[in-house]
Amino acid sequence: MRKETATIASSSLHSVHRVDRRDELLRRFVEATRRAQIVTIVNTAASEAELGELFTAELCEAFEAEIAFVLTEPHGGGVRTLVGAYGLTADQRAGLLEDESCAHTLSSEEIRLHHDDPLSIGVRQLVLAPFAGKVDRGVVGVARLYEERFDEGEVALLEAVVESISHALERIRLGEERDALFAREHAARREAEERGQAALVLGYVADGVFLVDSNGTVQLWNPAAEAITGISAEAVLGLPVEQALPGWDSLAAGVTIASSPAASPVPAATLHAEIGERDLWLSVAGVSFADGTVYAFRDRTEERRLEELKTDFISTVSHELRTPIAAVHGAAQTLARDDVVFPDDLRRRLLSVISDQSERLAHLVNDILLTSQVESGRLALARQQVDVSELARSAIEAGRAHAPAELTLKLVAPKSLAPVTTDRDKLRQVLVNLVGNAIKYSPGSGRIEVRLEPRESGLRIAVRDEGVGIPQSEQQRIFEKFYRVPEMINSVSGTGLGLYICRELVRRMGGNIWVESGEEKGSTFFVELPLAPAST
Amino acid sequence: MATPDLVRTRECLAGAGAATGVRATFDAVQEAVEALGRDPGLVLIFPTGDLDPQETAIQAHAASGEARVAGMTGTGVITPGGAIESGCSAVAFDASVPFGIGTAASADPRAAGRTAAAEALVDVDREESHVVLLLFVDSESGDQAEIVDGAYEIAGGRIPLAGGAAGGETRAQFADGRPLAGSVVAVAIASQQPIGVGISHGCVPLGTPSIVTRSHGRVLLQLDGRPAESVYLEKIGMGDVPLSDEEFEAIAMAHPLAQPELRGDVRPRYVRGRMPGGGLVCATSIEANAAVDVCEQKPEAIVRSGVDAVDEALVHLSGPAEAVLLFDCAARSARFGNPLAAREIESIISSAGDPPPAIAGTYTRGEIGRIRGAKGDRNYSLIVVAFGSSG
Repeated sequence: MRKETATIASSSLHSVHRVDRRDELLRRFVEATRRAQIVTIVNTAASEAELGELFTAELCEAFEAEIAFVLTEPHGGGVRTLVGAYGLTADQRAGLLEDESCAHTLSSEEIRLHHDDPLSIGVRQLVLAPFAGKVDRGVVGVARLYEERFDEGEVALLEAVVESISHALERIRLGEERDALFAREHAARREAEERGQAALVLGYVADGVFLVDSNGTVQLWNPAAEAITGISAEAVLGLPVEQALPGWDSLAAGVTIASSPAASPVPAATLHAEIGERDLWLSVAGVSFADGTVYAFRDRTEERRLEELKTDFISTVSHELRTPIAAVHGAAQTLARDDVVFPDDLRRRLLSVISDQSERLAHLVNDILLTSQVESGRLALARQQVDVSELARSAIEAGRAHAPAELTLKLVAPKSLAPVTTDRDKLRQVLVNLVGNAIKYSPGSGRIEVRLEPRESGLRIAVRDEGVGIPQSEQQRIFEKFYRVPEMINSVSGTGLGLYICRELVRRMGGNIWVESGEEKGSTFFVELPLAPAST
Repeated sequence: MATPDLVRTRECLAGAGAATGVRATFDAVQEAVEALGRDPGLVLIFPTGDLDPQETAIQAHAASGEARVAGMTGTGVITPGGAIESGCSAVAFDASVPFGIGTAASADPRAAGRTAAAEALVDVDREESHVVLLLFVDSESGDQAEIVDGAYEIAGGRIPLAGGAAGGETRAQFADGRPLAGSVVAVAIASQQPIGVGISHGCVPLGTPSIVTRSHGRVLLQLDGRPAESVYLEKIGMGDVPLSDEEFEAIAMAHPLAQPELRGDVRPRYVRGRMPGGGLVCATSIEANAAVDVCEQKPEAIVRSGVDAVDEALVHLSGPAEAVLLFDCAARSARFGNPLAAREIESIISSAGDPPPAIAGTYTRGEIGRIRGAKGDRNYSLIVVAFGSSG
């Protein structure tokens, strides 16, 4: 009986042991899966914020706790960071950063159980588990608002999962650093590309553009700036702007700088600048930004010169009109007097003055009208068989009528000359202008020769005088509209239109015109015409 | 038409009522107000989802006078006399009971939980009172766990959470005289007397736990390295039985999955259906490496769990309960005409006190209950909220 009782007791004991053993195994299995689950979550978190949120939420669920948090600080102390917190208000979160019990755990290596309320937030049970990574150290806290203590198994589970968070934090922070690095590189590359594109665009801009950085150094100098100023980018880039552009200070003083491109447009100032060997008029505007000032400039030199020429022209034309009008008026007034009986020769001379000055006025007006036709493209040229010898002879005769007696005018032409297909009247006007100029600029005695030479491709006409000649520097410019050699403006009348008209007419006839001259050595104007202009 | 034996006779801070028929909500609320004996400040309604939500809201407003109204639909109504398939239960709180109501559309479930909870708690004294936060949600419009997490962020660990997800043909939440869809309604109720919350379930694990080896959101793809559906069906002894989707869902209703907890209990998870390829669609997400049990619901365990939940709620009170709210999972028992459902309700009512407190309840499609820990979304559970009496 005793034996049977003992056997039953033993059997019951084994059964109890089996149940205990099963429960123990089950508990360990659940702990292991919880640990694996938490580690999985920790390892899949993509950011520190996500890690903090998921990890602390999972801790609350696994430990049936109301509060969980992760706090880190650099080794040796420094600014604490709350990686994540669950179940805490904003104030409570802020309080954790200053909490002494957390600070104590951070500097220790032991997991700590608190049965009081060290955080002063009403918790009943708190476990603080420290961890250490390569850069940071930290503490994981799990708290219950009810009395049930964390048992050994829970503490062991927390200890196990805490190890994983330092690795995860390190991985995430390295990843974030990597991402930040790539983002910076990407941004830098994009900025460089944008600058490259901007520089490329600036390469095609007709205006000069240059950038002066906040240190006053030239950082950009586009091809148009090179072309306008004749200064290469290599010569100015990296130099202080005062050194790169002598006289910059006085130039810059006249430039209005806008605060942004979108601001109200600031009128560009037109300023005189002597840059290198160039005498320029530049229209300059500037826009400042964080890194310096961008200047854009446009070459107004030609426009400025034209403005000056127009002013001169108006002055000249006024003078050219006033002189013959005054002569005509004076002669007519004289002839109109009743109280005087004029001798015949005086009366004829006065009538001649009226006639000559009227003709001069007509020429002047014709030149102005012709210039207008040339510029508007309304000039039509006839196609005629022209005997140039006869035409040149006619021009010489016309010139001789106004030439001083001491001047000799001569035509040199082959006996037989093929006709040229061109506009007779326009060619005559060219020859009359050239012969007239030769007479005007040949003070005193001398010889004027009109030479006709057949050439392989057509006919060359040379009008040579022995007059004052033209300085080398002016020989290209004398064909420009309104241009007159400065030294001659006061001594010889003229509008500055004659040679311009000659050049434009010859070009339209399909020919060329140029001059060879030397000061006090006379001038020779050449006109080369094709026998027949190319069909258009 | 009012159901018999539901009107309490002693003076109290809450009164309950229940009714059926076309005027069910009006009658239930009127009965609750009459049971209270004074003008209420707050009325909670739990109509069944076959009633028109708009009409329900109008009836509730008409019967509650100046009181504010909140609630949700259910798949059935719990009354002291048993389960009602179609009708409404209501509880009216005295105007002296502090409360707050918050609402939010649950497009972003977590944010909705935060918003509704914050709005409900803003005028409630959390330091000097006992507070419970009731959540009425729609489990179809987002992860219920996310809603509860959002509410917990605001409520914190000191305020218990209770409630559930609306059920019935037309699911709706109610707040301030209007029906809402796909929303979160939060009701914070404060009291100088303790408020107890009890949570229990009747699920019993079958065999040993499995490990989730692959999952994606709310779909379990693999258990123990094999298709989850195969492992699941094998564990309930139906591995070789061909099942239609309807048959599968019927079996799944009675066999939840459950996540074992360190302290030995399990947290049941509803299996909503299956996916081509062998996945199981769950009510909430379960991460890879989690352990899961396949469970069955035993009748005795269900009845016992009802008593346990009431006992757990009452143990927090210093005296008898003034009022009791019940949020019972629709999948716990075949309710109507089933002796199990009658036994369950009977055991709950008999455990609630004598004379019984004001009782109102509803059958839910997902429960919310949190006393300890931070997680409050539940399945296959009975949530009991007991309001302590000053007497």
